[in-house]
Amino acid sequence: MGLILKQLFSLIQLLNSDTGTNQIAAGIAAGFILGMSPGLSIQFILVFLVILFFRVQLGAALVSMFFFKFVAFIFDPIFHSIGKSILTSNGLKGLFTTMYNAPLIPFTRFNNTVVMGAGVLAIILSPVVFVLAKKLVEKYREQVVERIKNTKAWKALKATSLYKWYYKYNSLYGN
Amino acid sequence: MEDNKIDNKKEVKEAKKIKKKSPVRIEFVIPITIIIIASMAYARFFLDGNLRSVLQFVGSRVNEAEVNIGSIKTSFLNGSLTLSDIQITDKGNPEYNSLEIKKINFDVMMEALLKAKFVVDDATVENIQINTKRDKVGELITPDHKESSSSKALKKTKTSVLSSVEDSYSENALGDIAKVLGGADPKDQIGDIKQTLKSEKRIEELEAKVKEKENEWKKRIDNLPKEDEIKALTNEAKNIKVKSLKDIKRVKELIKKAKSISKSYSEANKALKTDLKFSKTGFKDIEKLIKKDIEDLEKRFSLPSVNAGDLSQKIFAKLFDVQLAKVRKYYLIAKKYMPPKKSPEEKKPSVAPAIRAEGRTYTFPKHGGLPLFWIKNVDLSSKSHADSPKSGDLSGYIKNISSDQALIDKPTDLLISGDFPGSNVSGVEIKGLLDNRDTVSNQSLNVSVKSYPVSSFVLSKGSDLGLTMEKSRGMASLKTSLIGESLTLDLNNKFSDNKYKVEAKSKSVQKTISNIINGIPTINMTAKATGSFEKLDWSIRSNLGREISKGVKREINQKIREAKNKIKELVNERVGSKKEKLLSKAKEVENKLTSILDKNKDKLKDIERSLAQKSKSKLDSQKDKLKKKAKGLLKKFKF
Repeated sequence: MGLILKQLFSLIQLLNSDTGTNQIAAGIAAGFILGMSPGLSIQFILVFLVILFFRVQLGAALVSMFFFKFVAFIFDPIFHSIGKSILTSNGLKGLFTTMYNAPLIPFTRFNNTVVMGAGVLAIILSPVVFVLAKKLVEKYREQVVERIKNTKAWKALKATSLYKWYYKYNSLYGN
Repeated sequence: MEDNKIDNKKEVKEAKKIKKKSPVRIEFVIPITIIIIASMAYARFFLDGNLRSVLQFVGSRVNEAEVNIGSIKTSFLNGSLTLSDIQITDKGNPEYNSLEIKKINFDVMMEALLKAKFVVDDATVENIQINTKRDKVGELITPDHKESSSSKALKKTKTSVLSSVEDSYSENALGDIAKVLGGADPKDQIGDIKQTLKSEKRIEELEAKVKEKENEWKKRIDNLPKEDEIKALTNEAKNIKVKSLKDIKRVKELIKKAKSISKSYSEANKALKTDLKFSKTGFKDIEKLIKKDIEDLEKRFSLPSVNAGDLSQKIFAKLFDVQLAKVRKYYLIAKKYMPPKKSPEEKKPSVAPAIRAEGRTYTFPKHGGLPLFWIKNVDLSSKSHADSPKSGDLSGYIKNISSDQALIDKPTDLLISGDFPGSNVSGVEIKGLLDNRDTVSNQSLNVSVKSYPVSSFVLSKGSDLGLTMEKSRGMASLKTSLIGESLTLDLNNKFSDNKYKVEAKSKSVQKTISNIINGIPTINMTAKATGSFEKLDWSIRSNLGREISKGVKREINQKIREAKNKIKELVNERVGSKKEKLLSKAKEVENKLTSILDKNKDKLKDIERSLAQKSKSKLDSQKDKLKKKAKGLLKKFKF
């Protein structure tokens, strides 16, 4: 729980800084894939390992996954119909048969319509989500963060010794 | 100014920070690497030991007695698993192993492991020995109080099978025979007849009736015309002189009177004869009742009868009662781990309907689909050793031990053959088939042994008579088939070169039984069982039972005859004298009454006859006189 909270604080900090836009966007895109994936499957674990292995913003990924998990079920009928059309496609039957008989791949539950539909759609849409997320973060920084920074209240807060003390502490022990 | 300074510093620091950090998250990679290395180290140094402990623990609980494994070696690179020095303690005799195997080697299919399946391409089992002495007495494992449903089912089955067999099995199978042949004589069992016999009761009834009739007839005879009256009539008939028509008239009156008296006597006589009929019917009833009394007494004292089939069953049932329960136990274990194909009703739908968020799961053709567990082939081999007399020269195989036979479309096949020279056992062949490919399980097991030694096989044990087969050479074949829950079992045993030991309290019994069994060169025993394990109809036939029963029957029949005669004697003793007394009394009454009636009847007839003669002679003389007078008159008138 502490790790998750730390990641969330880190996200807020990063979001309000000028750097790490790609990390946050990548985290949101990865969280989108995780959120759309129904249940626990091998691809879920793989994407999660990728998030852990590469310096993708973990907090962004978790928040994104949490959000999309709640929303995903609304799209289940769409996922089902997409998955069904893919799985019943005659041209892909040979490929799926090979995958079905191959080691490890059956653990992805690719032969389930919702898993297949959600997986394919999430992978296709993840670059779009990445671009959108990046744009949104930039917009947030330009329009929200900059405005706050120019307010008298923020300037007054920055002038306090408490802020200076926090800044010092953060530069020494923070990320 | 100050703010700008801080912001600039911050930017420089952050830029430095970003530069330092690589795209790979080192703080994740390092612990993961450590975990992987630790896992490999565990697999290298501790896995074998832990696996050995787990297998020993589980095996001991399944066997309910200690199971030891000398060592286990696993190799992920070669995909092999080797178990050495496996010892399975005999639950019934923990000083011995029921099975000892020197080495088992599995070559595991690595591709299947990636699919989370355990498939063994080839396995070898070397040096199988049975009934070997353990270095240390094996520990017995008491099952937990909380029994699982499967163990409860096993126990229930075992109990039901045993009880169904034990009902017909008696350790003292020849005990009753000894009683009949020796000590307990049915004659002695009879003792005194204390109950009232039916025939006896009937005799008493008849006695009362005869007495009643006698009185009744006395009264009736008293009411008949008296002797004096008949005497007076006789005298008058004697003395009467027929001279005139008046006399004739008197004679006629006397005849009428005599006839009337005679009639009353005749009627009485007739009635007496009718009455006497009842006693004759009654006496016939007595004969019938005596027979019935004898039959009842015979039933009451349950004169023994010997059934050859029952005797064979009692003697040989123990040969396969426990084995039957064992077969059932292993059948249930096999069924649990190698279940038959599920019927459509039992099967959960593999293609689920389009339920929201669950979707629909498609199945694709399986090429070389693998079950969860599959040992393709196990080669069995064992060589006998001089230092281990229980070891054997065995060879064979087990093919396709699988958790899903329907998937691999192959039944489990077993063939083991060989000899145990140290134990003097030869021609052992075990053929088994476990086919669970369909919804109905089909299993068969055929075991045959061409020759095996038999020693000290107790056929019957009792205080009166004990029969032991001290030495013999056996030949056995067992054919079992289990289709679904329907079991068919066919067991044939042949014992030759037999030497017996007969122990009996009574020397005559010992001699009789010895003579009988020594006259049987070969004992055949056939057992058949059909039905389910819970309700098994079975029968055992053997020439031993037949021969013993034949010999014993002769003896018993003699005793039975004696007993029956004794009963007859006892009945006759009680009833016979009464019957004779009644008969003579009845006869006496009959004679007495008949003589009274007959005597008077004859007298009256005589009277009638003499009177009729007198009357006739008078009439004839009168006729002659009239004729003469008529002739004289005719002459007088010159006709």
